[in-house]
Amino acid sequence: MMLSNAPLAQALMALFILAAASPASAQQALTPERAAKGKAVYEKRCAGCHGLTGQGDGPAADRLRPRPRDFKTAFYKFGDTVFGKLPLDAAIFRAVAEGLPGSSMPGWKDVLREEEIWDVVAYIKEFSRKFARLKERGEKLEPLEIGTAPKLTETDVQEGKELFLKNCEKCHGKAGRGSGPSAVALKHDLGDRIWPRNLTKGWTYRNGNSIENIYRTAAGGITGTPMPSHLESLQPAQVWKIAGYVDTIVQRERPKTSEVIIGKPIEGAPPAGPDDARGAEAAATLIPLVGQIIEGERWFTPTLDSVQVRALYDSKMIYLLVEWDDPSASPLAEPNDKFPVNEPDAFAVQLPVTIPAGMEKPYFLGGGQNSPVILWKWTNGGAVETLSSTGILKAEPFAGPAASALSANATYVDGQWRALFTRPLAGGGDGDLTIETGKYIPIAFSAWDGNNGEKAEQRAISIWYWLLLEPPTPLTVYLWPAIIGLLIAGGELWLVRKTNQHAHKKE
Amino acid sequence: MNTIRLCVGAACALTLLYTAPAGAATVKGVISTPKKAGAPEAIKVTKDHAICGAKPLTKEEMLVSGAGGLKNAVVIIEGAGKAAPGKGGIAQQGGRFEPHVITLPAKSKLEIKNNDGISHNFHSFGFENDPVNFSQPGEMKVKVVDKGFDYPEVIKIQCDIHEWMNAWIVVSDESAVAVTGADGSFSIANIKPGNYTVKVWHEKLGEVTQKVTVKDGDNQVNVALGK
Repeated sequence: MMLSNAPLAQALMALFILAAASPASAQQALTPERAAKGKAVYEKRCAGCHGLTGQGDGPAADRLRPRPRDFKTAFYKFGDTVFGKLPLDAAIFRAVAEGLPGSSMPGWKDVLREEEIWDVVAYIKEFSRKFARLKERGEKLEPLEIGTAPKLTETDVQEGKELFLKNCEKCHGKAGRGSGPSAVALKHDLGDRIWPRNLTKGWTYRNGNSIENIYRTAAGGITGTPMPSHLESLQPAQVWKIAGYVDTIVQRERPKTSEVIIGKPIEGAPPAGPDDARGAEAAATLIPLVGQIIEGERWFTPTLDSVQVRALYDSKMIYLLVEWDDPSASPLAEPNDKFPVNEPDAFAVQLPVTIPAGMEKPYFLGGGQNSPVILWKWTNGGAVETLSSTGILKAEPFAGPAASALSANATYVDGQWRALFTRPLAGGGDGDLTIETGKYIPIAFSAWDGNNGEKAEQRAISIWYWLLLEPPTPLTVYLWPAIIGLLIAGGELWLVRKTNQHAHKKE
Repeated sequence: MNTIRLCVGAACALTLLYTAPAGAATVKGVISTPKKAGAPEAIKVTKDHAICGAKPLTKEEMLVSGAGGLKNAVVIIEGAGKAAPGKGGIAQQGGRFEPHVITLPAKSKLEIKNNDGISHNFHSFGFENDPVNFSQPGEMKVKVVDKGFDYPEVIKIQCDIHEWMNAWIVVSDESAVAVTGADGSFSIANIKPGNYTVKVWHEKLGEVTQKVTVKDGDNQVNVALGK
């Protein structure tokens, strides 16, 4: 169709060009001038981690896992190309603009203008001569074709599960939690230890968690890592089915956390173990964990990132059910040559010695000199013990005359530990905590992944949270409304009768 | 396979000696190390025991004969001729790569076999050459990588599923290359007399170079690594 109105056509054309240029990923010509401008931005914003020469060796690099990208080797994990191939410009742009969730790479789109991000993309490509060589060879990068997700039936998803168990389970584990038998011996190409993604935690996916993103990674692999491409061995349709299955096990949003763990009163038989369905009667609270980087041997590379806590109690006992994902149950039954370190996994619940009257709590990191805490510590294959602690480096056997009888029962299934701590509400006496209902009790957690070499103060920790054992609802709460209801009904009946009598008299 | 290669090599050398007795030489010798290696350490097999543990596996990174000969060292006579692209091969078999070290002319194809019937992956750690990493399930008995070994480089190969499985591919554009046998010996025929640099590489002991003058007939070149 011809437009007869020339100015309108021009205006439409201008609009079209603007629209085409406005998406953040629109390709820009990456000229040497651009790269020169990008250098200034890079040195200000990026060099702290990625290093002045782009080799991923900035001052902060040693503290980061995964390490910052080394632009010289040009092993870009998420390049929208198949394993080992150089990345598309748009993929580098996306990583800079949006950041990489679950890593230390922030998104820069709120700090840098789009033009500046393109400048940086032009500059970081200059660190590797592979980009220039590609040009010399007259070759072009082939984008990994994704297309749109096909409609998948239940049968497709079931097939996807079978393909997953055949092709992905060795590393990602039966339940997708990254706990396959090969998970404990993986290395990044540049030497760092690396773990397969826990596919159930969608919010930690580096490169997006849509079904298309899942397909892209499963099909093309992740350059520089043990994650292989699968298009050599599977048809795209089969990879889509795998993506469709992963889609059913992924939780995309990080669950909301809460300051307070509400303990639920129960009647009848208490939970017999960590897998008892009674545990699920209490609401779960997700508690984030971070590496302990304050005292002693600091720990920047924890593998455990959160624990889910439920609390129940009856007239005598408290039942604390904790669940956390761990890529392996260590010590390993079959330790490997690659990472011979093999400490036991462990978990500790931290509580004050007495319930504080106000808001003041003991020091969160294992208590303080004048504010001791107790620890309920479970160690895989070892004892369950109550410890006294006046600091993270000062946990000792229980200091008081007697600690209340503590037991813990733990199971490990497909990448997840579930442990049930059981203890009488009453403390054993001086130096031991007596748990009361209706009171806010500070509570904190520590977890050790032994296969990651975690021991002593090298562990994942939480800050203080609150444990509140919700008092059972007293009978009067139900009784009073009934009594009031009866009274009102009675009053109304009386009124009706009186009115009727009055009316009769008038007649 | 190696025997065939050797026979063919020997036949070629003989033919050349016969037709051009004045222009060809053979460089042979022993690559050795004073390092005592002892019996190779057993590998801890942690999965797929039925296949990977069928024959006991031992570490192959340092194989030294009683006389000090070093197995799996690569000898390259630099400047003796350009390699023609061809096809190399390596197999995943019994939970190890066979052979453990291969040489490959630059721009060659590589045929990777999976003789185990279980899932492996083939992960190359190239820097000059783009790394590759693909899964090779049991049904994929043969996979040919058409391109990607273009530039001379020592490339480590790893199966990540079986963490102990690794191998080395020495990509070279030189035609005069050899991998040492169990006694550390090698033999490269059909070299024009002249002055050359011999480069020796070993996965644990690194790289040394040595200047040699090659004359007609047999030339003995012995190199010691890890002194």
